[in-house]
Amino acid sequence: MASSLLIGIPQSLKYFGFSRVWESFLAESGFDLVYSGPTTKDVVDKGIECSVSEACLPVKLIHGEVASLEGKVDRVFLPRLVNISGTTVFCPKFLGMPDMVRASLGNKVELLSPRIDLRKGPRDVSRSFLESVRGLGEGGMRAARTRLRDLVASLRIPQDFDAAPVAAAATVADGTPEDGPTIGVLGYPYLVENEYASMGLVRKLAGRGVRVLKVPDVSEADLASVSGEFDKQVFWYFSDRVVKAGYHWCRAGAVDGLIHLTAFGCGPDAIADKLLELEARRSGLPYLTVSVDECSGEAGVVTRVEAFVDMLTRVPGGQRYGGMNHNVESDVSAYGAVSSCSHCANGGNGERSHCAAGTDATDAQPWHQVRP
Amino acid sequence: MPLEPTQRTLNLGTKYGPEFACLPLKITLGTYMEGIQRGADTIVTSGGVGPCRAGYYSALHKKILSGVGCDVRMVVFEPPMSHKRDTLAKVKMLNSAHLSGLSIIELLYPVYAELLALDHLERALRRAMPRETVKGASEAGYKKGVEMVFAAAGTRQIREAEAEGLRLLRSTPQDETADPVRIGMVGEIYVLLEPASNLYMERVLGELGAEVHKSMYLTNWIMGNVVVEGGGFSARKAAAKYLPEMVGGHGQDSVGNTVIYAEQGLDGVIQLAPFTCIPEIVAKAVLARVSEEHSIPVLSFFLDEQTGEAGMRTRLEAFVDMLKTRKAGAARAVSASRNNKREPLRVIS
Ligand code: SF4
Ligand code: SF4
Repeated sequence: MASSLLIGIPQSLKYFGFSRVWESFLAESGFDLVYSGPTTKDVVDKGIECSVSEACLPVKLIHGEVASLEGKVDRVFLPRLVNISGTTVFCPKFLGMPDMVRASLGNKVELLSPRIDLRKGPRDVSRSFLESVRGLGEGGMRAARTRLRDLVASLRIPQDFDAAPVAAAATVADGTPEDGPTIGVLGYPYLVENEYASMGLVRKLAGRGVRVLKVPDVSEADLASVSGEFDKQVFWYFSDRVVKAGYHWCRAGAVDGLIHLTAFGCGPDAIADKLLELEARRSGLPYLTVSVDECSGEAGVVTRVEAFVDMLTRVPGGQRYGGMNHNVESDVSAYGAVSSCSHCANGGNGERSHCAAGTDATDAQPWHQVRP
Repeated sequence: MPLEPTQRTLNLGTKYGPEFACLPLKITLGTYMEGIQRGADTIVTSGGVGPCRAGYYSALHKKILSGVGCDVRMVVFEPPMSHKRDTLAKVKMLNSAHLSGLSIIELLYPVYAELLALDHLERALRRAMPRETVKGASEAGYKKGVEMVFAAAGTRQIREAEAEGLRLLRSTPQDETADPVRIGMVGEIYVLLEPASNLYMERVLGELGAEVHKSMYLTNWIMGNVVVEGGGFSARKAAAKYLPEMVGGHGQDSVGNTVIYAEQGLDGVIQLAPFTCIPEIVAKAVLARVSEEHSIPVLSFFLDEQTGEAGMRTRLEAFVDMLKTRKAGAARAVSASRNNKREPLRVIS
């Protein structure tokens, strides 16, 4: 039997909470699978090189992950993630991800991009999966076809993370000092679970005796219990879950503080972060936003997180603060100040780039002089 | 009625709005707050359903405004074609003067005529400016025309004012032999249509001798989105090869319109978008491939409150110069090939 095709999968997709659907389908279709591996500086540099400077870190990571698979696999699996909940859609950058990657790496890698949109029902998603592997499949196609329908149906139930570097439960059980604060870490899985991109935030917190709760630790029922709080459901799948998890923790008094890990320039988080900040303030919960991008210095994150944890620890028993909202904003990425950025050599070329190194400060004139 | 956005409006929106919000969100928030300060107690705005952020503005604004203690009544119009009952209910609620359906439409008609007149005047200005032999003459003619349209009352007078304005513009001394570089402008609707937000880029381009073609005017947007939802069919069809998915905002339109402009033989395209604008970031990535395959240079601007005019102007000057040399080069190639009867170059006609 000819050796079966090797399909590469970008590492970030591992943290999405439903990767078992495509892992099972592709494996049962007779393909060999390989994830692109944990993020390294090289993957980030590759990502920066082949994506637009305005893209957020996660988009650059996925570009870098695809680029790192070049020449090592027969196809790269990169689905068009549209909708798996029936209501909320994915961020527009995921809606257009295959087209963005094809625009910069189209001649170097061949993509398998089934369109996953459960609003059109499981049959349409199954058909799209089968369509994407037509002509490539081994003998196993028949077996995969029958299992596919219930695999697709299971998209709705997020799996727990086996890939999490520090499973939340471990931090709770392993004898964390009883009076250590509990912190809810809010953020998208492809950031929070990515050791490099999150600069080991969860691991560092656990290491300082913090009991860490993460969004996947909040049950579906608890997420649903706060939906009445919103005039409109937040549009995007992960943002909706992150905001609801934050609202739940505020309501249930389950945490002593919230840390929101967000990517610099993230569109949906401009809304999600403000909703969370307002809710934390209303509940008197300390709230810290850590915004990261490829220029973020680890030292910056560590000092600010430690200050936040100290502040929570100094109060005996870590009980809540009446109204005092330690809302340490400002983004870590030395944005706005000249930073020696190891990743991007480009200075500001007039157009404000995420990394302000070299931006000509006199350029930032008042936004608008009313012309006579 | 809201005033034209000013620096103060933006400062308000930036102060109370999220840092990474896109420019339109900050400006609309600032406009609401200025309106409230001038005594408004009701905000009428548009909703939307995503996937980009516009549709969520109203819900976020409401939370921000109540967070700073102004609980103002917000009437949000969702896309009428898919929210018929809801739209009618809101019109009735706002219709305190109990105007009949017919009279409401009669009211809207001159407003639309006025918008149409302003769009036509602007197009004429964009055509006249790079050809004017007396610097600033077309701008003056345009301003005069706009004043006449604003002064006119009723559809007939508006039409007359428009005709007079157009005549004025056409009568400015122009060099008809001029063959200016033609630049298409694509991107997010707010920064395309609000000159204050794009630092008067069209005027700068006109001054640099370029003829600007805008892919979107308010009137064809109104026809596009309000009357026929997703009206930009031709642009979306042209984008299909590069970006087949609806990514929200005008991402697909930016890609499709660039393909159309390339096929129409324009010399270059400028993409305009607010900083962090999600659909336009997707479009910018895809436009790199369109630019290569259709050999049309594309320059992207992501604007926000810190964008400097000097920086923008230098990039525009470099872009227009490049297009001029490229256009001259192409013209020389045609005449050369015609002389020695070789297979003529595939020239952008
Ligand atoms: S949600 Fe934010 S971080 Fe995630 S892909 Fe979209 S813009 Fe990037
Ligand atoms: S299209 Fe861009 S600027 Fe407009 S709301 Fe969406 S993200 Fe903001």
